[in-house]
Amino acid sequence: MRSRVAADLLLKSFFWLSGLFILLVLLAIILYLIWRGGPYISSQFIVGSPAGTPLGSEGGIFPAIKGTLWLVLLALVFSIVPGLLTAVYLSEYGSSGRLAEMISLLVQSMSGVPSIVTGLFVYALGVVTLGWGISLLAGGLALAIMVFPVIVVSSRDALLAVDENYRLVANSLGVAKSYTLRRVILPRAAAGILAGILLALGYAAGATAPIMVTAAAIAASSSGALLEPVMALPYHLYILFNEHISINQAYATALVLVILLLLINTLALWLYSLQERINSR
Amino acid sequence: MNAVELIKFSTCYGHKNVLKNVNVGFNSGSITAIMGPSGCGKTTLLRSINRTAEMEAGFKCEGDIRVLGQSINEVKNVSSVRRQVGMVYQTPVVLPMSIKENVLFGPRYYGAQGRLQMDAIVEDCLRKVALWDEVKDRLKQPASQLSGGQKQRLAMARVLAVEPRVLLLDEPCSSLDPASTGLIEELLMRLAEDLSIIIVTHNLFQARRIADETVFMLDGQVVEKGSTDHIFTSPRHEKTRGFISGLFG
Amino acid sequence: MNPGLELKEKIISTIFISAAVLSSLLLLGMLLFILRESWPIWSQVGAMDFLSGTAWRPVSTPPQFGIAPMLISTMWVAGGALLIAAPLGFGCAIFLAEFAPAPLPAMLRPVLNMLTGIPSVVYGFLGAAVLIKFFELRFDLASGESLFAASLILAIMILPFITSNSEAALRSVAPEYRQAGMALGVSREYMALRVLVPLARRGMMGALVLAFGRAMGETMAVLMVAGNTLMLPFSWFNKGEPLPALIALELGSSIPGSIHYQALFAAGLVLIVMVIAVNFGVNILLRRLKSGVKQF
Repeated sequence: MRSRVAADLLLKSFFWLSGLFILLVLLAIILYLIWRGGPYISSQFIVGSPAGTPLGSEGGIFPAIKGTLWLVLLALVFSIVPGLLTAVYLSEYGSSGRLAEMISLLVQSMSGVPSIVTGLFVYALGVVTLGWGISLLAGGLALAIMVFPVIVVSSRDALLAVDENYRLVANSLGVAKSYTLRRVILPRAAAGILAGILLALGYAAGATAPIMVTAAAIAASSSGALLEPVMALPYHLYILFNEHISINQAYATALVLVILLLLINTLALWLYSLQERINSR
Repeated sequence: MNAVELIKFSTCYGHKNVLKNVNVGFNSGSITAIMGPSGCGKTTLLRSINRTAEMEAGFKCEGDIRVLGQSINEVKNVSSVRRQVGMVYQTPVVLPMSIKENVLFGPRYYGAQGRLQMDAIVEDCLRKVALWDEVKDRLKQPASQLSGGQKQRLAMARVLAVEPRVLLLDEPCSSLDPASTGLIEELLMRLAEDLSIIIVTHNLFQARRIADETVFMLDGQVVEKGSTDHIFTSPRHEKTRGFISGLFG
Repeated sequence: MNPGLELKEKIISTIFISAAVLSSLLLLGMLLFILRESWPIWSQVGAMDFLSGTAWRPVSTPPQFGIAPMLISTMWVAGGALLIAAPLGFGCAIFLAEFAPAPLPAMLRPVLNMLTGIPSVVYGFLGAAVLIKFFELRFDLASGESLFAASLILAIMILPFITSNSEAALRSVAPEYRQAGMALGVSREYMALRVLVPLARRGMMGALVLAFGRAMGETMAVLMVAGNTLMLPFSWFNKGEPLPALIALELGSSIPGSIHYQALFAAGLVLIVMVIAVNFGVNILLRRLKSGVKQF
């Protein structure tokens, strides 16, 4: 019996410690970044351009911020419409058919494709074959392919969570599916869909591998020209560290990136909880 | 003339045979109750008439259903059937919008325009279900705030707004309190002047109160049909007698 | 009025179906494209040699393309990450599902969410700047990069995924089982381990396999801490270059159309096939393994 009690205690402590471990990891990451990077963040850092020798050891990261915004914008532009259309098909028109199952499987498999392979594909297709070169357009496309499955799955789930009774009632009034979709289902699921899009946005903003091979450059103006290379926050961080340009700027960049993503994720979480409250009303 | 008529009608879901060679007619301008034990196919019958049964996977049917003389399977557009045959469900369901928009949901789709016309529709339908006085000051408020009985009446108003000729109700009062039930029964008797009403109910007292005729179903088949009084006092079939006495006993 | 509405409805549903079909064909399109770009490798070098060759020398004459070291690095790094993260992830999941007092689960779930929101490059950066430095100082090494370091970083990255999915699986076990277990007088810990986990094992295994797939495909974190040598690793503490790192590092400098370029595509194809195989495996596993969670 005593060994049982000891074993139980061991188990219980293990479970507790694992739980607290996760909390500690997040805190440690954030606090450490704030400690090492915080002192180097200034308004000049946010709005200035890279400067100094080697380039980036001083100055700011504004072109990288701009570049990330452009990349994410393109990614969303290319992926939202196909993503939502597919999600609506899966939840409203396909339901349990064989075609819908296959499409669902294909989309779910897409979310497992390593992002570097997506970059590889767009490199061959866009950068080389279509002659775009290292460009914003190629990067946007690569990111769009990467986040497409995220948008499909999250939107489909949000749509499916809408009370089935609404569809039933609307159908018995003889109205068309698209009408019910427009007036009842979509508005009802809007918060959840938006949350999914935000998460996709965050995922795209932080991705490095696909843009590393399709769009990113060490220094660029990021003016929004489609066929020009762009700077991007994650890639800039990588370069600052890997090329030993400036460890302090690196920490500051990392902090900016993490804050940005935490904000996006928090907003998305809030939207999800809003959706839950709406669904239970 | 029969408002609704089922001719040699059978349905199955997958391998399960739910309705078996049903032949029955429902009079126009009257209320017919359908009674029977759980699983006898009453709900499937209703859903076959407004063609929502086919939305479930594995649905197959044979035979014909005529609504106002026209076969519902031969129509090109299924939604016209659903418009003619209104359905009210057991659980009161209101759409997530205002009271006014709930009523106008169908009319907007079918092209109603103009504020005056739409306000008239709203008032007319809400009056018909005796809800107007209760909600006239809060038409723009969310319908979810209404009580169960009010929601059910709103559901009926919503259905009336698309001007059906037949009204189907699937145990509409089973989740309501006696007062709301009474209101709805009154309302159905008024509506029966213009509509043909078919109501599935477990409540034999309700059937006696409002139904002109009653149909008794068992195991996917219609066992007996006749005037409500007749069915309850002197049913012809053994099985009907068994069911009725079971309800009493 | 009705015929017009019906036609419109037909057009609308056609749009939805076409969009869905076209989008899902994207995956197949990608696979075929990559296959085509890498075809010369498969036909000239041959799959066996490519997969088992231990020398990757794109610029020597004749160039040699063997990805065995990279394959081994990939599996080692991912497997190692799973080894470290699985017990912690499961432990945390059990904690959240059974032991955490009321405010904690609601607090910890956003934490998990935020951890998944931190980009991999930040994990890689911190791993390189902090962990590697620590190894170098503490163990007096010239270079602290290793597959082990990569496994550590990956473990932290996949931990939130394992925890969330496992917790969901545990929570979905019917409460009757908990009650039956506790009624026998055993401790909560014992019940969690002996009753809940076996019942939730389907979902938990699925979580592990998905995490493994993720770890295999991760680029940045391993790029910055695994060492990136082309030699065959012999121990967890050697350096290595998993497949994603290989592709990321060499794609830019390869000449489009050259055999080197094609070899990188072949590597990409191997990677994607591996990950998809893992994902398919999850699906089949989840279908085959009887979960034992019966409905009461």
